[in-house]
Formats: sequence, structure tokens, C-alpha cells
Amino acid sequence: MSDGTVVHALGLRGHDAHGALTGLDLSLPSGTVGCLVGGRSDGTSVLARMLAGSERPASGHLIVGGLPPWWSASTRARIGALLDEPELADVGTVRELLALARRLRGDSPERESWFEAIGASSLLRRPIGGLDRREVRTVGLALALSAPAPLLVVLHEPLADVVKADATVLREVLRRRASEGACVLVLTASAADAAALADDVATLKQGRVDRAVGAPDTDELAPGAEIELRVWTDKPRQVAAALAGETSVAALSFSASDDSVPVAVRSRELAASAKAVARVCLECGAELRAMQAVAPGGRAMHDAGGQSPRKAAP
Amino acid sequence: MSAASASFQAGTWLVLRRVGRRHAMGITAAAVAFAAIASYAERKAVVSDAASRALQGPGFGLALPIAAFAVLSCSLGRGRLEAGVSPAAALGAHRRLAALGALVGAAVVAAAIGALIACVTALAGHGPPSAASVSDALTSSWIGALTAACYTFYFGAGASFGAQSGGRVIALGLDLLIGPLATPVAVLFPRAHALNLLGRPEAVPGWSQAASTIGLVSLACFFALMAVRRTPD
Repeated sequence: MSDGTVVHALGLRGHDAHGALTGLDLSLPSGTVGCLVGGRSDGTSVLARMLAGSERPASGHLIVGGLPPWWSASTRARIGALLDEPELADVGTVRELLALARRLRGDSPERESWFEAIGASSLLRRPIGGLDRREVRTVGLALALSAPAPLLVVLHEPLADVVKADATVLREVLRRRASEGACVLVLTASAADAAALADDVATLKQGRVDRAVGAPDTDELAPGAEIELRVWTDKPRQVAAALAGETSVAALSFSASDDSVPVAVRSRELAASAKAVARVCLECGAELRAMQAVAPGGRAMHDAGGQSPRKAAP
Repeated sequence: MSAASASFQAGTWLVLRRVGRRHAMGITAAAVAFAAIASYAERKAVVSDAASRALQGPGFGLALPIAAFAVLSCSLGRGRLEAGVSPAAALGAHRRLAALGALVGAAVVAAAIGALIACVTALAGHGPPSAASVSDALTSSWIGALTAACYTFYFGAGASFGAQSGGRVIALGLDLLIGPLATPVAVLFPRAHALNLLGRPEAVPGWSQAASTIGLVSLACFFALMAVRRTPD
């Protein structure tokens, strides 16, 4: 699509044994690693099946790369999908399955460097029929990640029920796929997994996208995790100095050289730290221009100069 | 290898793996045992023409279509035709070609079982082996193979109807009910042509045995085309 949108869903409805989509609207661009946080009852498993072209939407429109995946084999060949219950084609061993995938999709390497890290290498000689659930999902993950020139990589719970759950390796592979132009979507019930893997996070609730994470439900999704609050003010240095004494603030950072860079405030209680910021700004006579809560692991936090926020000097 | 031929092969390979040696042996053993016992019982009741009665009755009337139905069910599972090839489709296979490959694979297995059923039924009906009984068994075998293959495509087309593939059960029921009736509608069912080939010309009035052979092949192609057309790509 000309505007860079890879996935376009409008009024998408459908259900499986676990949950349903109730009119999902979704647009996902290429080159991003996004995440929808929600359980199977919220429709994550059926959404993964629809995006993979394994389930026909009951109503609504779903387009991936300009074509509906249910009807287009060429589109499905460029979608890497790990489903909740992957259906592996039983054609013998895992190696033979990978060979079949290679023939159907066009060229893609039989064995990639990250196979070892996710535990797929040890399964190559195993018969498909003899794999347990974790091994089936691991092979499904390897198939999803090895799709050549992928339009879309959609992974349902990629760190759960797999042989080796290595978030660091997976994050790196997903970022590589995104940098190659794929749209990467992780569907998980775990906010921690979302934080570890994705740049942009939103919630899927009862079959619809609820809201982007970074809003106040961050604390609900990841109780106990630190949340970053970005504060734009005309006096960042004074505000940061005043906030350093606040008990609700765990850590903070600011730019000593550039006043346009927001003050990053880390805390475990979003509401308390927001109140502290407001009070401090009043006390300092600083103009509070904007505040933004950022999900743990979100892009904003990772792009903050690559450094962790530091406790400011009083 | 092109994606099209890979899709066809994937469908065939999937089915052959699913049916497997164990299922194929089980279906064959059950169907052949039933046909042999029924044929033996026919001969015990009335010796004259027992083989023909056994072939036209329990052999081609029950054992063969049910064996073909069982092979297709093992091949596709309980779902619709497209669901049976969904593991290959998820990797980018063309569903239609994969479905055709699956039906061809299932038809080959069913044809082998059908030939065996027909052969055993004929031999058991004739009693002690003779040149005539062997000749009849061989003739019955190719009729059994062709009929079983045709049934597979017929049930495959049925499997493309109904949310839970109930169409194939209806197809079986229609064949059992309408197939043996000597009516013009019967020409649409494999059973009528098989009966004609087995020596009951009144099953399809006005059709020669050669015409029924072509009829069975045409029906197989028609049902295969219908099944493929009704499958999303």
C-alpha cells in the first residue's frame, strides 16, 4: 500500500473456541514491531488465525499487503505466523517440513543462525507426529520467522510454550524483520513479554483495540513495574531538581544542555508521580506543557539516548 | 519447482501421511473381511451367480463406498475440504491445487482398496479358483478401482458443502438411496454406472458398459472440478 500500511482491518468480526473479535479496526504500518496485549478470550488467537489466512472473517474487511490473506496464496506465502495451536503439515520430519515451506514460499534458508537460540535446531530430525506442544510451537515459531521477504509476521504468545524462550534473541530477529520492511505484530497476554519484544503496545479488549498503552492502564497491565512519565516544561532543570526529593519518584533524567528534551520520571505509581510533577511545577513557577506516560519497554524509553534514567543530583 | 506443483504435491503428501499404513490396513481389512463373509454367505444361500450378487450387493453396495468414505475421512479429518489442506495453505500453498492433490492421493488409496474388495468378493463368490473366476476377479478389480476413485471425488465434492462438512454424509446417503434406482437421475451417481459394469444394464437404462466407464471417469472429473471450484484459493 502506498501509505506504508501493511495490515488494514475494518469492522473485523469472527470467533474461535476461545474468544471473538467484535468489529476490530486496525491499521499497522511496515517496519514496526507492535504488540496487542490481551488474552485469548479477547480475540488474540482468532485475530492471529485471520491475519495468517487460516480463518475467514465472519464479517468486515481484512487486507494484508493489498490482498485478503484468506483468498490469496501469494500473500499467505509472505506471512509468517505462529498460532496458538499451530497446524504443522505432517510431511515427515521437521527438516522435510522446512523444505516444503521453502518450496511453497520460494527460497529461504533451511537453517538460520537463530535456530539454535530458540531450540529449533535440535528438532530438525524429529518426526512432526512425535512433537509435543512446546516443540510444535517452536517449529511454528521457526517457520514464522523464516518467511522470506515477509509482509507480516504475527506471533501469538511467542515466549510461552516454546522450547527456549529467549526474549533478547527474539527481539533482535523481530527488529531485523521489521527493518526489512515487515510489519511485526505480537499478540500476548503478558505485559512483560510485550515490553520485552515490542516498540508500540496497545490493548485488545473484548475483540477491539482498547487503547495505546502509556495511558493509565499501564499500571494495571504491569503491576509493580516502573512507568516512565515524560514531562515537557520550560524549566526542566529546576523541575528535575525538585522532583529528586519526591518519595514517589524512583529515578529521573533530563538534558543539561537541551531544554527541549523532556524530563523522564520513573516511578512505580503513575498517579502519585503525576501529582508530584504538577505540584513541583507549581512550586517552581514552571510551565507544565505536557505529560506523557510511556509503557515499560516502549519505543520512547528505548530511544532515550540508550541510557537508563539516572537519579538527578539534588 | 513451481509453487503450483509444490501445492499439489503438498496436498497429496499430506493425505498419504494422514491415511498412513495403519489406517489403510484397518480400512482394507474391515472392508475385505465384510465383503468376503457376505460373498461366502451368498454362495452358501444360492450357488448360482453368487459372485455377481455379492459384487452388486454387499461388495459395491456397501463395502466399497464406505471404504472410500473412510479413506476420505482419514485424509481430511472431520472438517471441510479446505480445512484438510490448511497446514499447507498456511505456508502459502494454493488451496485449490492442494485440495486437488489431496483428492488424487485419497483416490489412489481408495482405488487400491476398491480393487482388493472387488477381487476378494468375486473370488469368494465363485468358490474354488478357476480360470473363469480369476478372469472375473481381474475384471471386477479394475471396476472396483475406478468406482472407488470416483466415489472419493464424489465424497470430496460433498466435503466442500456444510459448515462441518456435512455434505459428504449427505452424498453417501443420496448414493445409497438414489444410486440403485433405475431412473434417469441415477446416472449422476457412481453406483449406477458400477452396477452397469458389473452386469446389471437396467441400472442406467440405455447406457452401454463402455458408456458407463466413460460416465464414471466423467463423474470423477466433474466432482473433482466441483470440489476444487468450491475451495477458496
